[in-house]
Amino acid sequence: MTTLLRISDLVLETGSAEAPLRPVSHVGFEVSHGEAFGLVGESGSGKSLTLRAVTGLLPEGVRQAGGTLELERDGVLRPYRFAEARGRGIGMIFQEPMTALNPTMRVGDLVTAGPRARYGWSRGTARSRALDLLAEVGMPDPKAQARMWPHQLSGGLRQRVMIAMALATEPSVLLCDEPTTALDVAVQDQILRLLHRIRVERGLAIVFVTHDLGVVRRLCDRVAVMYAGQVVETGRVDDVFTRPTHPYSAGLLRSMPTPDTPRDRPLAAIPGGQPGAGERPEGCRFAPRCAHALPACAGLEHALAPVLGSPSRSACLRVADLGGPPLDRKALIV
Amino acid sequence: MSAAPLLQVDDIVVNYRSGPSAVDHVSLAIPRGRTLGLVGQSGCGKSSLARVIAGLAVPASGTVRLGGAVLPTPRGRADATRIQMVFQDPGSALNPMHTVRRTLTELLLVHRRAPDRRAATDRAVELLELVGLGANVLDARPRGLSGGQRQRVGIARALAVEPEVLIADEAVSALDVSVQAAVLNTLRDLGSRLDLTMLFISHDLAVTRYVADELAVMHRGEIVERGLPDDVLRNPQHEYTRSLVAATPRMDGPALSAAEEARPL
Repeated sequence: MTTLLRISDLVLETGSAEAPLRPVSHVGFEVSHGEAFGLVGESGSGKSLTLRAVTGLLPEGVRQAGGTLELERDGVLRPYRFAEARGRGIGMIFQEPMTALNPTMRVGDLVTAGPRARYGWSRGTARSRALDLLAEVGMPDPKAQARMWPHQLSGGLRQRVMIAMALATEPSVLLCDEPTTALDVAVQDQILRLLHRIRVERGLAIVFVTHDLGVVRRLCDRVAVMYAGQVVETGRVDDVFTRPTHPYSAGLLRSMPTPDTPRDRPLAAIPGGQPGAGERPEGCRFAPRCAHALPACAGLEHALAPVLGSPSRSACLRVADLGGPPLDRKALIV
Repeated sequence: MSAAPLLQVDDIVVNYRSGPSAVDHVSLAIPRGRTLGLVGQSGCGKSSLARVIAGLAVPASGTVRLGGAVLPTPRGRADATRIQMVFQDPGSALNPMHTVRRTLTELLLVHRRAPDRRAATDRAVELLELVGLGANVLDARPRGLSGGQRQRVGIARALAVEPEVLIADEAVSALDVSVQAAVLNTLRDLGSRLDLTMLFISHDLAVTRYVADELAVMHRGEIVERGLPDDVLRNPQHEYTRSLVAATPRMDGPALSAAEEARPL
């Protein structure tokens, strides 16, 4: 598979130029054609800002202070202009379908408003394309729903409309910002299966930002785990979930109750909380919460390094000590 | 569970202006010191039911009994504090202008749980320690606290009036995974230490299974299944429960496969 999207050394800043805060510092990852890539982290980790930077939709007051964003075109990765990339190349869906959908437009018009303006589609072309797209995203009765207003649809159907809108410009990568978080489990499952199907049928790449490890497990091929504005571990989902190579990923996996978690002991919570952009410690930012931290961790310069015996890359200084035999998660508990 | 239940809810009906009943003849009982987990999607009626039990909403019919006696709605002064609620959004459930000290001490003084301001402050610190915080957050306002800290203050506030029943309505849903685990531990710990009777409401089956002694599944205003948590998860009887179990992501579960693509959306 060839690389479709490459983010290198992305730095995002807020605040004054003299004393800026860096909610995202030196984040990088690559996404291949047709790949589902998960960007997972807790709130404040910088995952959503990273995704917004990719589309040039940074909130007011946040600026890109470094790094390159490249998209493949004609076999070559090159920096792109946001307006152009949003028009084809990159599609995006958000967490809150109700706030992302213009409430004064009917569903059918919403879906094709972008390409109509861009390519000058006729009304007839737009209408038939809208019906195709609404059918593709599994709307139960596309003709009827095309005439409806967003508020008349359930949350799950609104999310489908947003996916149809994103697909209208024939993107090669779909960026998803927690699109299932506000939905019920069963509806979330439907949307995940829909995204998976669209991905397979269209050969579409997906970048999926979420705090939900279960969703990443279900949908994604590879994952980057973010903590306090940095990627701390990246690798194939199968590896990261069974043999995490960073104590934070390991801690996250252990702290989440599953249907099989023993009920007679406390959950393995990670003590403390994630530091905000203004309160990040020197060296490894996870060290103050980490059971494995050594004095040297406070002087560690952040870098993702290959891990011996694992295809993952980790930012942990002690990864060699943490690794243990494959599949032995207990080895992470010193 | 042979002892008479502490909380007994009989045949509750809640109607809104249009559509079917939000809560449709629901009955449930929780023995003292036990936790009942109530699972369902948003809109299934679980929060409407919780509000009726807490005395925050008037049902069309049905009764709420505590220790055998029917609680009137609206609740009288004597009964007002016996059932307390912890809400989902710890940010909007706390007065943003008030420090933690003021939030807790005013409550303690109004409900005569402390004779004077000084005793109230001492008690506030005790409560904060009970939920895993300390005196150092007394002068913080909600904005200055993390989400997990805010939710702990919410729990401390609910416990300040020494309720017999605590209702946690999606109380950990807005929290991050690592923080959620710590708050769940605190809730469980409080349940056993204070012999609290709890109604734990959530859309998350795995989370609810972890904290609950018994599980009830609510769907379209009705309780469609109840039982021991592991029985319900391993051997769900009702079709709705089966779909809920199937949709619950598992860490060791399979990724989406070609077979699942074929399943209808």
